[in-house]
Amino acid sequence: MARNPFTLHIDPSMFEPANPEEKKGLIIQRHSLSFWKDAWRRLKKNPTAMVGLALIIILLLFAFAGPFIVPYKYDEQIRGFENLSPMQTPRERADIKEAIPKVKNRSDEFAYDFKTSKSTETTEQVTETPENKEADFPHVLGTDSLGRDNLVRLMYGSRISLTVGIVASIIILIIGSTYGAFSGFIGGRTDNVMMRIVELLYAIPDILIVILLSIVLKEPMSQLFARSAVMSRITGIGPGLLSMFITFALLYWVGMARIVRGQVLQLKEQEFILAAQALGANNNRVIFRHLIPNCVGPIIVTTMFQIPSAIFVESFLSFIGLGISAPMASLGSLANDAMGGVQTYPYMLAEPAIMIALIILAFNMLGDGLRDALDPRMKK
Amino acid sequence: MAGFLVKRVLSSIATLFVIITATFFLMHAVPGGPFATNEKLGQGIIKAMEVKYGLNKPIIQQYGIYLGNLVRGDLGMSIASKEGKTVNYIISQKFPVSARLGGLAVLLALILGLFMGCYAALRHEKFADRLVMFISTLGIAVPGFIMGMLLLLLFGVALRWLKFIGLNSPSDYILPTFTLAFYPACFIARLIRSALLDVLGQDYIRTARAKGLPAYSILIKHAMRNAILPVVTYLGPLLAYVLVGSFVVERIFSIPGLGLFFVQSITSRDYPLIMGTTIFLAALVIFMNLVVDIIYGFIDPRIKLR
Repeated sequence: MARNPFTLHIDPSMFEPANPEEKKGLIIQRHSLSFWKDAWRRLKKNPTAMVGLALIIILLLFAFAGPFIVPYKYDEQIRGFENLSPMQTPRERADIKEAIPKVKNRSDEFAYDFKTSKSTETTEQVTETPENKEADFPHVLGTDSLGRDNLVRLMYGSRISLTVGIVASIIILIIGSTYGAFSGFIGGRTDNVMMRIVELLYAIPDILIVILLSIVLKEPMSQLFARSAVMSRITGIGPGLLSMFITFALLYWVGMARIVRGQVLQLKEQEFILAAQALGANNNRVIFRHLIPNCVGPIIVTTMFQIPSAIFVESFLSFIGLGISAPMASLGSLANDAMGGVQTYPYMLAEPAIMIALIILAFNMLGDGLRDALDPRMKK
Repeated sequence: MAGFLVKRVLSSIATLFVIITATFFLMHAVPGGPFATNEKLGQGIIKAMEVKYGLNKPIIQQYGIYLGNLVRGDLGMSIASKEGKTVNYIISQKFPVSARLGGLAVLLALILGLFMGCYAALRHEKFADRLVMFISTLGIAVPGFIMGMLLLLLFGVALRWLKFIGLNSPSDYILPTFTLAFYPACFIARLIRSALLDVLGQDYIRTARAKGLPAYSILIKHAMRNAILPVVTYLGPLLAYVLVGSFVVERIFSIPGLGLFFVQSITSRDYPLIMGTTIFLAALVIFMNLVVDIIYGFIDPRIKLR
């Protein structure tokens, strides 16, 4: 057969069908990784982030499961057991207290009568109060000046702080990303006006306004709670907490809005948006189904860093006497209460302080790791 | 340049105006008013007090009067103080204490931050660098007031080296200043380190080295000039941080400054004082940000101010 150099003559006899084994070799070995799997793989390699994650899980367990183990309640005042030192059981304390009046009687021989009678009175209360199950359970972190168990209060405080951090970040996430996405997507004059508003809010020294807002909101919120029993039952949160959420919703979304807007400005020029629009998707669908899911990396990272900063603001407010009100405890208000007796009972200040530091550190560690895993471009 | 100045000043004034308006209406939105909580006062006295402080007029008119007074620099009378002090007087009494502490803290933060940052950059990837990075990561993660409490517990209560109530002797400044300065120092250290690492790799540094200049001269005259720029931008936020920090630091260390007083005026519901202090502090922050922005343009001629 003469070969024509200009046509593609292929001799079928040169080929044979591949056997199954050979076919297998051609299939690409590595399964394609989804975005999340890939991110998780990268996160797992980062020891700091994993330590942070483990810490967060432990802290969550401590805050939410802990109160079921300890047999005390956060607002339970056990009289005669004020300012116990760590690891004392009520029974031990009762023994000591019984011993005290005798010593006192001996040393204050010329003390007034009512003094001695008073101290015997307290001993009576002491011996009555501890029930059997409680008598053996130590106050691991001692009790406060009103005889409340510090460990349980610390657990509730952490619960409040974690709740504030997470809920506030979700509020910020929703408002900020919606605002930013609309601003970036619509563009033009709308974008300009919307971003001016953001800039204005950005320039306001936020803590001052937060303080003002929490004063202003506290009164109407407590009235709202007092009036409708349903309200307090549904939410299960105090007026202080609710006004804090409103504050976050009003002020702290601007950072998130800026980041999402920047992302959307890049994304909206890409072909898949054009394709979606060509298929008849309206603006809402484009924004919520196409644009926002595509900037999920930066959104998650920003939210992750928002949690510790929200926790910081909450504990800051509670520390200066705003925010959560008694008998509920927050880490900040626990620290505030402990400031008075810091000379005598330093551990009462150390407990919430270390707890806040741990929580914020843990979220920062995980946040750093997530930033590297989800969005390598943001890495410095 | 002139255009930039005008634009920047105008936007600062706009921000300040928004704050004043928001503060005013927020304060007046509180139900009850300042006298409602005091049950000893009779209706007649409350009426008379409201007339005295102009609280019986329509709110828009009150707003106008307040703005008018503000333009003249009058922040009104404090309600809670028994001697009838003006807000201006209280601020002029309390602010210097805070300003001294804040100024010291800014100074310490700059010195400490620059030193740590330079040292880390020059010992890049060595132990000192790792140590500085570790400390600064910790310092950024742990909030300032927690740091203050821990310092107080360690040096005040456990070791008893320093007193921690009031500002009566020079050594009393150590703990509060360090508390305020620690976070910004860590932040500055990181800024300087990354900027210096960037700058030290550039050609003009190699040229300077090739000329045989001594290392310190290269560092200070050539490298630092460029590496310091991010720190200048950070000065504005730094000031705002020190200001907010003063609320808790003054509370922790019982320092009779404006921050502590502000927090106390919140609990006593002294509205004119709360408003006056808020506006004063906000104006301070906004003004300092403006100054920093303008300085920035002069320091780095490459930046075109628009």
